[in-house]
Amino acid sequence: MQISFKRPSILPGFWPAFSYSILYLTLIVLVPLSAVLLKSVSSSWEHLWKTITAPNVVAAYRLSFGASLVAGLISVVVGFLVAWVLVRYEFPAKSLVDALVDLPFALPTAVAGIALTSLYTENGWIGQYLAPLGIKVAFTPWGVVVALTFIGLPFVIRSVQPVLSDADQELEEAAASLGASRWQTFSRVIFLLVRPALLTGFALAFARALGEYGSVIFISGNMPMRTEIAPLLIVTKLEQYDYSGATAIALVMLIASFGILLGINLVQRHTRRHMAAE
Amino acid sequence: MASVAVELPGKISGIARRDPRWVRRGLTLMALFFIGLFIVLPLAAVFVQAFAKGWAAYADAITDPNTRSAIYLSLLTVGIAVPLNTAFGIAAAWAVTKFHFAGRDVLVTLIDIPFGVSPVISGLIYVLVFGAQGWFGPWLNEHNIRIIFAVPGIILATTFVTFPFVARELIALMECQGSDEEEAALVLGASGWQMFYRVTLPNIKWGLLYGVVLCTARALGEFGAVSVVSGHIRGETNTLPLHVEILYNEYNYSGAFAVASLLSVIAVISLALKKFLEWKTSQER
Amino acid sequence: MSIQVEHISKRFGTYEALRDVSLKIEKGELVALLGPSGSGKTTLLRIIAGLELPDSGTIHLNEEDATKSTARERQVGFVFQHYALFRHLTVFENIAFGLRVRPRTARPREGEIRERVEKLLKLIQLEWLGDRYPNQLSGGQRQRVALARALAVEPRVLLLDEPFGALDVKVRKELRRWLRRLHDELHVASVFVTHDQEEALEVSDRVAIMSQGRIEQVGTPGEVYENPANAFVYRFLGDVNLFHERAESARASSPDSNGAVGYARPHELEVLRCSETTNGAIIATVRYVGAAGPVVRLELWREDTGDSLDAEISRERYRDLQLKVGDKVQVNARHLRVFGSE
Repeated sequence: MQISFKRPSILPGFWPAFSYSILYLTLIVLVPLSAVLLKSVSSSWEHLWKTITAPNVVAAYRLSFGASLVAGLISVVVGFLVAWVLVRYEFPAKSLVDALVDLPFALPTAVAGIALTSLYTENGWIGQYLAPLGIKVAFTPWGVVVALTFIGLPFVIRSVQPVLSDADQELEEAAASLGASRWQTFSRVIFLLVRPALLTGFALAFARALGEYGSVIFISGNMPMRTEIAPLLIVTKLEQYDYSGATAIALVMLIASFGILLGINLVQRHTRRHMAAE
Repeated sequence: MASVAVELPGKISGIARRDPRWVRRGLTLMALFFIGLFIVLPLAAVFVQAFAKGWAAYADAITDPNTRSAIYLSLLTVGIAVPLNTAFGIAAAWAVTKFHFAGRDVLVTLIDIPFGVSPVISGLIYVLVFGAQGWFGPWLNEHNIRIIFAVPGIILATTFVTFPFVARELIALMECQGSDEEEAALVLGASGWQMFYRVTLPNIKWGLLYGVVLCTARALGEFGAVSVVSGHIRGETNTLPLHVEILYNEYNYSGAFAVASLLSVIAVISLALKKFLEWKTSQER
Repeated sequence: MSIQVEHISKRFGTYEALRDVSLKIEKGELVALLGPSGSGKTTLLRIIAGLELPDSGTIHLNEEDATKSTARERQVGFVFQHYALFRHLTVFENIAFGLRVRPRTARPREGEIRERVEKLLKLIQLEWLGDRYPNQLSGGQRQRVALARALAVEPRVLLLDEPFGALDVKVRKELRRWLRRLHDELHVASVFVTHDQEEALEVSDRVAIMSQGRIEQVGTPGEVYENPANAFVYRFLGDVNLFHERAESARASSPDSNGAVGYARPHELEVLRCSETTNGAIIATVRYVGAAGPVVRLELWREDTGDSLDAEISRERYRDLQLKVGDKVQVNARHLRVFGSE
């Protein structure tokens, strides 16, 4: 029996649709992306290494990864809370709030960037209350964290919401009938159900935060060694026509984000198997 | 599973009742506080700052020639990137959901790639291909074609960044709907195109619109990728978000926020459209 | 129109759905393809319709080779298991669809389309529902619309895929009879797929029983029920009791079937009080008496083999025997069927 590429079907249009898609995908996505790989391969290994180990680059990686991590964690906590309230409680204008959750997705990053900056500078609406306490947000790494939390929240909320709303009421009732307190039911039953979604949401927020540019560069202040994020360094290198330097930094970031996305995939697959076994 | 809301606020049947009232109130207030803090305040700040110098200054900022060419360029970009990605989205969804072939899952994963790439890198890759030192750099130079630091580059980068939106939405929807109706149409004597226009398109129209709205909103607001390939040439290669940056860096805050408010209005409209179309799509599944 | 299916085979990946299947359907017949899931009946139906392409074999429609022609060219009417009504079109537009998509030269005028659709609506008794959308109809109504839609293009053969599968028992029975009457009126050759043997036997002119991609037997309902070709057919068409001993001691008619299995239907078992025993008879204990219904069902347990037997006796016989749980009875298999060892 020959193994064919495609199962025969009476529906028309496969080859035109397929070839157009592959062509378009290759031209717009695959070929340009491969430029990163090819460029890094063509540069000398030492130059690559020197670039990515330069002190300001390392500092930028540390900031990008660190701030993304912290922002991701904050997003998980706050996002879970918001998702919980949205799914399980009622309050006026709930659908408005639910729609607002998507705002960071919809708002252009530059707009978010300048808005957040204006809020957290020393005479900003929020900054003015923090200044007397000695807390500075704008132009510090904390500003970066705030911006990254803004864009990361919706990922967590939208990952957790469906899982919470699908959660079988009967599980909680069973736990209660077996004598569990409300807190125990939460920590032992509900939380475990939601944990994979929290992981996914965290990973998505983290991956997005790593590469985020527009929301961050206004509030960060872009001070070398302190508040420069990795994407900014790529831009700087490009402005200096140091293509291979820019590529080197980009390569590291690409590997990181694809690694994370792969991780999410594996977690999701593992969960599905785990859940199906029940 | 649904908890039915009864008329009196705070008195809900079902699971919610099992949490003590103070827990419910407390958590709700905390959640609303965070939403207010993280989401509502920034949005409000945009509009307040935009009008900080009064209506006249706002109108000036909006009608300024540079603003107008930024609007024009943004619209042009959307006008090219969105239809191209929509055509791709329909083609890819058709191939992927109605047929079984080797590598189908790989194709679906590949479509998601632009989501995982930082905006700045999305611009970088086009610089590497078309920039002065890029693969085609010398050739383009000879023929006096400018892609990077010119409009074509902006359109390309925007196309890349908004690539998956329509495709993903359609793939999810069409996967759900199955192929029965198309088969029925063919057996009844419809030609391929008749089947597509009379059966497939009407069934996916809300999902399609939803994907297009997402794609458009992102295309209008894209900053990082466009920033890299633009040249920031005022009046020529600035989209609206880039224009916001320029005004801001010149300390023209009210001007920057005025332009930002335009983008925010579009963002809010797209959110409303999204909600509406989400509701419509859920009826079609 | 007649349909001739010859040596059709079909695989999906490594799964063999049909193995060398041949079948002839005469003009105007109503044939049922009966079998459990996975037997290949739906695949065969779809291949006849032109919705799937066979790996090997031929299809002839009215003596003409149709193997390579498209579904459109074959002029078949197909009714899908889940109706596949066009969800964004009204009932009227659904039925008119086949007429509307005809090329301009073959398309009837709008007035004529309207007439034909209204006639069909009357036929399916849904005249007042023309403006409704499919999601406003019940399952039974949707099924009838799907049928009308298929009939609107005056197909040469009508193919139905588990037409009543998703419906309530009562609705199923009604629609079943309605389909038979419709067929008698229209005289269109029809093939329908089902896993319900009662349905197949009640409605069709002939039944083709399928299992694992092969046709086990073809015949009229009476034929396949009275003379099943093998154990599979016999078991599929009704409840069975199995007798695993040497044929003679169970009074079978083939004395040389060593190690064969004997089959009997519940109503073919004779139940006697133990006092009327003869030697070598089968003794069983009454485990359960189901006395509500047109016949009395007994569940009996044989001590010697540990097998369970289901018997059906008339209510008069039950009254005569005065059986209760725990009683010992003798069981005779009046007409034991043997198919050879399994």
